Amino acid sequence: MSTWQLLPDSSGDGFRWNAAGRILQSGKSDSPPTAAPPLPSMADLLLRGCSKLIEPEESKPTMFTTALGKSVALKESSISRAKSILTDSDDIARFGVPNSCFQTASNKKVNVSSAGMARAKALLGLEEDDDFSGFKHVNHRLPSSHQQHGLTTPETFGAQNRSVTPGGHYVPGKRSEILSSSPKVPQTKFQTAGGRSLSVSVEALNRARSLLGDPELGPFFDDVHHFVTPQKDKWIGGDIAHESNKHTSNSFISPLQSSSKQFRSVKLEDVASGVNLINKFDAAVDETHGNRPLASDKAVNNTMGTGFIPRSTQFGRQAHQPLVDITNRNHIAHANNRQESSQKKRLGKTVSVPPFKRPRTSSFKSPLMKNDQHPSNGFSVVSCDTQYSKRVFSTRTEERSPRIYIKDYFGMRPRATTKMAVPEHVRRIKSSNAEKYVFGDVSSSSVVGAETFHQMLAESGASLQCASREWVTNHYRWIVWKLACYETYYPAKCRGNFLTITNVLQELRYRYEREVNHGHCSAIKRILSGDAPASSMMVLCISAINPKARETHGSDSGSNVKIELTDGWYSINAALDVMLQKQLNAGKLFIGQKLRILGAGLSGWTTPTSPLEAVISNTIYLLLNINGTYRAHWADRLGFCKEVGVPLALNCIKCNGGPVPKTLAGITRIYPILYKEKLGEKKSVVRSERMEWRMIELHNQRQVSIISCTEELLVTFMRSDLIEGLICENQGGINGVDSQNDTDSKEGAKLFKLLESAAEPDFLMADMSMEELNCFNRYKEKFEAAMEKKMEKSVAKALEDAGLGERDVTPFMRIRLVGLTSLSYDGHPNPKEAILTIWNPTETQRTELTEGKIYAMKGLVPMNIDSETLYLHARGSSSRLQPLSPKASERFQPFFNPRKSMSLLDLGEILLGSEFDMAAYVVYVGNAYTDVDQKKQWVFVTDGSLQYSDSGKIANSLLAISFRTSSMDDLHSPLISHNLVGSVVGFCNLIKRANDVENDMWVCEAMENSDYFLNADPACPSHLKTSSGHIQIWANLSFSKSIIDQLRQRALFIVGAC
Amino acid sequence: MAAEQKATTEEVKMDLFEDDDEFEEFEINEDWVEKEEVKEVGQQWEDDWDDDDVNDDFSLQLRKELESDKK
Repeated sequence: MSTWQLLPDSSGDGFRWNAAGRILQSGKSDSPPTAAPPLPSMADLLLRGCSKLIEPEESKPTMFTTALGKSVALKESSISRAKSILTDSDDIARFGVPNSCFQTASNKKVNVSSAGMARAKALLGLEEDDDFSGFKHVNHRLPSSHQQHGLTTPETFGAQNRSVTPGGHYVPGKRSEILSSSPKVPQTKFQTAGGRSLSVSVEALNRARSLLGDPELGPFFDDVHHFVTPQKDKWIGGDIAHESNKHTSNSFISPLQSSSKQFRSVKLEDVASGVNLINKFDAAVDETHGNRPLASDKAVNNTMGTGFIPRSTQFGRQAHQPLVDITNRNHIAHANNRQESSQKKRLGKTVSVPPFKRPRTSSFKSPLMKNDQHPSNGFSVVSCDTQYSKRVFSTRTEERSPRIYIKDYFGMRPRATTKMAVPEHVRRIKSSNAEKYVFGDVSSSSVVGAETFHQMLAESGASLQCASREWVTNHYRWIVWKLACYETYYPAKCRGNFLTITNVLQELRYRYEREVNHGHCSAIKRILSGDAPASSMMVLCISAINPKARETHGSDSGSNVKIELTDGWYSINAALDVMLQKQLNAGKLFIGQKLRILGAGLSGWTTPTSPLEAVISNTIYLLLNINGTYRAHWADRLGFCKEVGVPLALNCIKCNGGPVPKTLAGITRIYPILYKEKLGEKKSVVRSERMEWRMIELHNQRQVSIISCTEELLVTFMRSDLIEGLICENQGGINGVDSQNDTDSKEGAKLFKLLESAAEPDFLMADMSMEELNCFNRYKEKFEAAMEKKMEKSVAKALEDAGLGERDVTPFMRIRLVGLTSLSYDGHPNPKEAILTIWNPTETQRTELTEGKIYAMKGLVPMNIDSETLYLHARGSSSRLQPLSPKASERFQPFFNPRKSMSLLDLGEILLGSEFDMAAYVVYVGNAYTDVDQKKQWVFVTDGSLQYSDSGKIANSLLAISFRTSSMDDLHSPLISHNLVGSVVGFCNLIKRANDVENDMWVCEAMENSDYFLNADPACPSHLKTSSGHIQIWANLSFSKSIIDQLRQRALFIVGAC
Repeated sequence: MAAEQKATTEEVKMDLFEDDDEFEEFEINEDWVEKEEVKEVGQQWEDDWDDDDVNDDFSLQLRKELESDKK
């Protein structure tokens, strides 16, 4: 069995271990086992030596032997040095905590005290890793790790419940109690960069401590006070730092819980021979703490980790230490980010509110560190390994602890109160100045502002590329503003505990986590990046009114009053329409108010833009109109709304309030299709479908006439000129026809002209060679094509000159709508009416829209007409009219008054100007005539309901219908045919006018929306068909004929025809 | 100890409640829009700017209605 020999080194000051003639290579401890019995570990050997050293000096046995039992002589000086290095015999003697995990080579149990173990760990370079696991990155870059013991954070100090030994070492609480009770001060040792130990006297140490600060607690809390107000103001004072220690206590890993593998990579070269000892130490620590995480666990459970490190922020830099090298972390972060970008879509549909803001008692995963050699920093791990990523995510879900929503927490809407004093500096925080807010006394240089938080994030391992200074400043602004608002409006609840450094940093970390590591984007960021339309429904908060450009990089286009809106993460300007400006002036738009915005426009946006750039450029802004902007509840969640866009009640639509994203209305009447023909710049005419058909027919007839005339003229009189002209034009080839061979074309033209002018071209052709004939035929074909083209142009011009060019006709349909009243509404309903015009209605809209149904309508635009009736426009293709289900429709009060055929006896019941339908027998049709710019025609009808006046004459049994139209293009054709006399016709949408008292006659008008049907017409509405049948029966009675004659005579008398 | 824990809890604002700026991440694409359009709403937004007060109760009621519709 091999063993070790401790021999003096060449310098004579130290020793080296010799194993059977081999020099132990550092770092070879985990070399593959060989067949030979393994050498005892260096650690074991040290302990073996130690056990000998602590024996009474009188015995002076041989302390080291070979495997064969041969003793190894050691010099006295070597033994004393080993003694001083290995342990303090006094400590062991007094506090000899039984620990039999070590044995000598001869299987003798060796008891090692915990203090000795701690010192041995310190010697082996383990202790600082244990104690400062949260700051390993600091240690990692420092050549003298021991000096870092004085540079840890208050959180670490307080969180781990550790004591500070007089020598400046932090040790776990249990052991510190033991050590603190020791009357003898352990010797303090520091290690040089070269690994050599230096002993420091107690006096020197005290002198150093007095220079550095508090002799009891070290300089630590003095430095913490750099972050607090001298007045100890709890808002920004030392309480924050001290108490934050308590908060963070659970989030830090016990130094003994960190894996030895983590620091092994750092210190392995120094402790190569102590691997086994390290493992034993770890095992011992496991026994002590019980809940040590697995060393193989890649994610270090540490909520805060290196997160809040005011100490390291100050000292880490001021101690002339280099900045944390996070180049590789950046890389990882970006990789993670990219990976998250691809994951985002996958997660998007399934993930609800992510469990980010969890109690800090739960653990975060390191996001930027993928290997356990790096310290935990509080961000989550987003590994390239999908499986791992999922695991992390699911772990989060499992660990998520439900929190109540802001509304339940505060319970009441924000209200300014004077009952509780809120510090003035908090009250003064506005969204515009929040980014300049600093924690601390502004008169001193030790203030914590956005810049410091930027450094804190960087120290936490955040990517400086992602968490740029601008990024941090922006988020700092919104976080501070939010927290200040909480403090101001809920002082009783907040009591100054919200606007603290800890909370701001937590919020910043949360945002970094979501935005950088998980690729989540707030609403404004998504809109500006082109990822989501600005028209989506979202809730934003007014953060400023008439905001000034933060920088004058761009011109502020648009003259509308602007407000600044925020989603809590970013901001964007928004231009108000006239109606919203009125509300602003009336004080109904104010800072802090939330708006539910639907269908907003986006001006000035051309390419994906960062929200930080957009704020600077100041050229991109939302376009808000009142019909798509509603006041939101104070606790509504900011950002995009996942729920369906809520329709705006018809009653609330403003005629000058811009497009209506969505509304709900009942259809009361659907009017017939109409056609609007544009006749010029500002002139147009509207025709009924019947008239449009007639117009098309007439137009076609006129066109045919013009075309035939033109062609005849061209053929008869212009052919020779055309031929001559074409030939002259195309001596080098027919115009418009590229000649492949100019010579061929010229020859063909010559032959063609010769034959055209020849009296007997057949004879000439008979004498022509085959080649000449082919040449002639080719040219003739080209000539005919050119001739036809020329004629087409001439015809088109002739039609244009005659006003018979292409007609510009647009079909449209009008629909009468009514607003809806909820069933639960117990007031007096006063529903608003609207006329919707659908331009170019789709076939579905023409056929499937039904009177009496409720429709959800999208994409309507109101006309700015000051009228009780609202006029709306829609495009058939882009507007959507979706019927509401009967179940949903039942939630509203009945609104529909079905059509019915009115009787002349009932006409007195309806109001003037009201529409009505009726079936009637046509008594007389007058001639069409013009009145101002309208074409009119009187039609007299009756329905057989007879009334008699006091004088015994028939009264009110005749209805005069005035048909009128603005179309003046076919004057000679009547609006209603004379052939209808003697027929029963169903009339729709007649408008009641004042009755003719003199002639005892009802009067009404038939306008654009009116229509009529013969009884046999399948399109005749059913409610008219029944009446038509009854009237037809009456008209066929012999008794009726005399009455009809009487009425006709009266009609003739009225129109002056007799 | 318990009192200290309570005090600690009260001061960690993030643990206390969910902020209104903790937005929900979800896809907004054509499919989503189409899907949302199919959903019908049996309620309408009746907050008229001419009214003096925002009817908080209405929005609460609306939310309940929307939630009941989803079920």
